[in-house]
Amino acid sequence: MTLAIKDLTHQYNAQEKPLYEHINMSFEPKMLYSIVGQSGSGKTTLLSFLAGLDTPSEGIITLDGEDITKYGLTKYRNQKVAIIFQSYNLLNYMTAAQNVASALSMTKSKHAGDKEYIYNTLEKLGINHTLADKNVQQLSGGQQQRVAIARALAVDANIVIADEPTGNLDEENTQEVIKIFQELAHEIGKTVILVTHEPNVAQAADVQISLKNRTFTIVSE
Amino acid sequence: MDFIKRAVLYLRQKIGRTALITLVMSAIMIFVLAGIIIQSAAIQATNSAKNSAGTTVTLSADREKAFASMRKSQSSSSSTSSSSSSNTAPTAITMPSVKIKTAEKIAALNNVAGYQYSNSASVNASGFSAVTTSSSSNGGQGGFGGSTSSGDITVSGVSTTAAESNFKSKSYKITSGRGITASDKNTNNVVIESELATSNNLKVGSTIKVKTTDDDSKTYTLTVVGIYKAKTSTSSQGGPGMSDPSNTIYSSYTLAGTINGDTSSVTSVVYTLTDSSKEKAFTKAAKKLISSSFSLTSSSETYALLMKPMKNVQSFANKIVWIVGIAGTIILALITVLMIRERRHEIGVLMALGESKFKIILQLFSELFAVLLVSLVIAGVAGNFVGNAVGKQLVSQQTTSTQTTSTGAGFGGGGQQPGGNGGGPSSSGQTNQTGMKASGNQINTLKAKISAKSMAELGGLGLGIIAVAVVAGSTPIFRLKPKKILSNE
Repeated sequence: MTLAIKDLTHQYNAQEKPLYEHINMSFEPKMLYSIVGQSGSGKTTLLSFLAGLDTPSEGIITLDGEDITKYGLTKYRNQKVAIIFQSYNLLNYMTAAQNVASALSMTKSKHAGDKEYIYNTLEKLGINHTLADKNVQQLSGGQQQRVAIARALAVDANIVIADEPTGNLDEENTQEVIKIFQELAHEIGKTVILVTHEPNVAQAADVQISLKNRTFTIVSE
Repeated sequence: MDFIKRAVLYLRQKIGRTALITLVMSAIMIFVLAGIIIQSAAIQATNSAKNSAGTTVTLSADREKAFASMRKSQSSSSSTSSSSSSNTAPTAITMPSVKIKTAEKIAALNNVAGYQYSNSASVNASGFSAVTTSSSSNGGQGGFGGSTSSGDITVSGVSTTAAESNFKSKSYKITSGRGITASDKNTNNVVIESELATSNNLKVGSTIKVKTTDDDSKTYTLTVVGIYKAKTSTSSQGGPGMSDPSNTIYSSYTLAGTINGDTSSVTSVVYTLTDSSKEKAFTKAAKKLISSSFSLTSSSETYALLMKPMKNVQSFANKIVWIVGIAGTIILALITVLMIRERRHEIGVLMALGESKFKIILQLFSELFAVLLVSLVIAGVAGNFVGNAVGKQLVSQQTTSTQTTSTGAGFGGGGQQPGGNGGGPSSSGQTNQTGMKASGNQINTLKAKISAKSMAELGGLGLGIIAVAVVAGSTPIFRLKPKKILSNE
């Protein structure tokens, strides 16, 4: 599934300079993309367009050539993309396992209700059975971040979009997460797009994109 | 059904918040339920009182016309004889009697469940003593003027004592022997009051003699077949000059007719109808069979007085339901709106994960529905107590105020009763007793009881409240895009 940005221009209000102007870019399956740029360059805003959380002032986002707004943004978010938020956005009245289980049920995943699958996914990210059964509010920031990643990895979506997914992780866990993202792209065939500030994470991607001067530049491929 | 799982998890995790909203919802539900059950109890009490008493229509002489005719003849005679005498004796009122044949024709009309003849005669005790009290010792019986002669014993002729209003209302109770039945027709069997029996050492099977009050007095020998006890036997009920109620003996209407010298007529007939809604149709049909000298009086006026406190309680309870319902809806809706707004981040996350707005609403609704179920159980338990306590207080206030305002009317009613009928019966005492009884029998208890219907009404109202609250609380959030909701946190 190819995700593409077509002639995207965005500005918060008419008086300000546009954040981007006439950007075009496509994201292919089996590839890991990293987007870098200075603070305020519009990385997270771009991700929100790609994730269907917001719509740009001009231009469209397409999935296999079809405008995602025509597909339906709620349906698109539910079936096509998995989002990892910088601030985790876990449901705070649930345990780690329940957060993952809830996402599987919500997206009608083939793994919905499969406890073993849920605990294994969490285990992959260093959340053992004991931690998995704890309310997420009782977990550290790093652990919550890993639960948020596990929730995105568990669902069947073909596109994974992550905003600073390793921002709260130590070096060891960061490497582990990078490995998982690479596996998702190269072995499972998903399109993985992540925004990061960390050079080592950015360099691990297949394609590095720099967001500068209201346009994209492909730094390395 | 993922939204239900989420709702359960939320309620379990946020137990304090859940308890708080359950408490608020229960308090509102208790008061609404109290209002509903008081209202339904008042309606039920009104209906059952009306049904148990049955709707009755009384056929008797039109007293207003009789009085008007008396006044007319008095004024014409005074104008012709004004010069001859200034001390003209009042003209005796002639009250027409109801012919039994006519009464039977009316009884054959549709919707008549039963009928009771009433006839009364005034006699003097012979060989035994009437009960005397200070107010009745003069022997006067409330007649109009001295031209009417009356005795110290009233023979109250009925079809059966069981259908007689005092016995029906249990103001009078047979304590020994039996009451008058249809089989006593054309016999001299009587039922006497216990005071009269005790003071004369009379028992069931004893015989007594009475004499008519006219000039060529006749003596009748009566057989006591039963003794009754009057719950209240204050002679003052009948007003000054009334005979003591203990001096009323019950017989078949035929005996009273024989004493009066007219066996083909009775004083009045009370028809009990099968259905109160047929009262108008019955009265219309019956009027065609009687002359304008007679009137048909429905029991509905009496019931209106009895039912007044209930109607007031009903109206008050109705107001409680509306006021608490509206106030409760507003309070509960505001609390829920605030709670939902506090959860905008969670709503944003769910929207970002691709959950439909409809399912998010269903989750919020399910949570409140579970709270509502618990609140309904609490209200069901507590509502009965609150309803009974409030209902008791309301009825006691309403009964007191209604009795205060209706006392005058109760006594005034007696003034319309016939005086002597040429030495015949005087029933003013009896009718006054009925008036007092009506006042005394006003429904003064209310059995507020929870029914499936009242719980269903409450549940419906609760569902309405939470539906309004969920929609009002979540709509402003749903209008935003997920990014906006999450970035505002």
